[in-house]
Amino acid sequence: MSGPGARGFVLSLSGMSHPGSRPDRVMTAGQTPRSRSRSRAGACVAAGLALALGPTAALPSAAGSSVTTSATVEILRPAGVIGLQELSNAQGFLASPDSAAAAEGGAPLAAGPIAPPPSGGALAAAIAISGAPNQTFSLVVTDTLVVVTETGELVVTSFDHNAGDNPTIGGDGAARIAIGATTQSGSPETLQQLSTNAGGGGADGAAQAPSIVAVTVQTAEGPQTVRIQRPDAFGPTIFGEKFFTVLVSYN
Amino acid sequence: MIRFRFPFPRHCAAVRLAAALVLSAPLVDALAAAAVPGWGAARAQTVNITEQRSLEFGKVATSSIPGTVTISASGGKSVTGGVIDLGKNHREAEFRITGPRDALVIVTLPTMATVSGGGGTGTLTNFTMDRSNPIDLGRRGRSEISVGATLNLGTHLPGADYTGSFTVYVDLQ
Repeated sequence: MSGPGARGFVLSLSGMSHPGSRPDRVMTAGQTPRSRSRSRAGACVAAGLALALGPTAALPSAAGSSVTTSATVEILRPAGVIGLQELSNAQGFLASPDSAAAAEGGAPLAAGPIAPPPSGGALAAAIAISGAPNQTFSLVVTDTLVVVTETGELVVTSFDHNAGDNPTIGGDGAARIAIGATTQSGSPETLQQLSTNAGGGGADGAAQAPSIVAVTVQTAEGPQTVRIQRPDAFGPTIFGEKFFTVLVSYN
Repeated sequence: MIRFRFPFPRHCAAVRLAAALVLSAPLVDALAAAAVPGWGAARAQTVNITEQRSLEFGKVATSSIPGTVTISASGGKSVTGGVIDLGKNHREAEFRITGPRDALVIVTLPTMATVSGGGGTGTLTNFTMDRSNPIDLGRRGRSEISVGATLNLGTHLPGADYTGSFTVYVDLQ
């Protein structure tokens, strides 16, 4: 600020702060008693205006606000699958055509410890599923497993489980599922028939081609090439493997 | 007879005027409020924000692959990566802002927050709201906003109820 107004304001305040005392400021050049009086009067009015309008015309306070809220999420324990017991027909895994449906005949396991395989008897596979209590889940087991035996016989195994249509994890966060199997076997002469039956899906041969694999089988008449359905969509083939897959996912 | 003598006779008029102004402040305010549009709003320059409902992501499961679960400002839920959506009562957060009528306010969302539970943690990012700054409070001096966010989750998080908090700020523009 500059100019007479500003200068007078300072002088008047100084004089009024100590009425009757010796002035602590000397009058500067150009100031007269009349101008001092005007300055003090102006200061009084300005002070009055400031006091009157101060609370009203103060600059906007721009008082902001904040709120803290919560964020929640319920995370379920991931589903886990543990193999408890292998599928067995007690004569070697799917070794003999005579063992057809033997594993399926093994009683599905109930809750409780897994019993050791009985001597000479068939036994269903067992898996344990851990996860969120009372959570429903989907269970997918490998549809079929194809094994060619040393004698050239083809064994096709279909799996099934006892979890039902709407499997649910128990209140303790665990479920135990039994998996059985039904086997079908055939001589080399029946292989073509099996592959034909397994082709599925419509009359378009080209559309079926990716699911069909060629297999060379040693027979009494020499090597023969047959075509069978790819047993597992997750890999090129599990021909000859002796594993099956269990997929568990929450609904 | 004692005669009162004003200590500053030469300034008597000015002091009286100043005193009158001080004493008449309420009157001045009332007159100004009636004559100047928005005078009252200018005096009450405060804005407030309150929570109407919190942010909930519902139920999910994690897996061997990290992923995210997102609640949009409109309340939609989506998951990415290995996170499995299991539904259950997800919803966006909602806030109410009040302030001067026709005021414009700026809402500031957090950039990151954390939820934790059961020994695991998740990170909240990408907060969004259904309005754009500045927000007009309108004639009622009030507005509601919805806020969503993305929850980043790691692998195989232990099952538990995870909770966290975040702060939303509002200021006059």
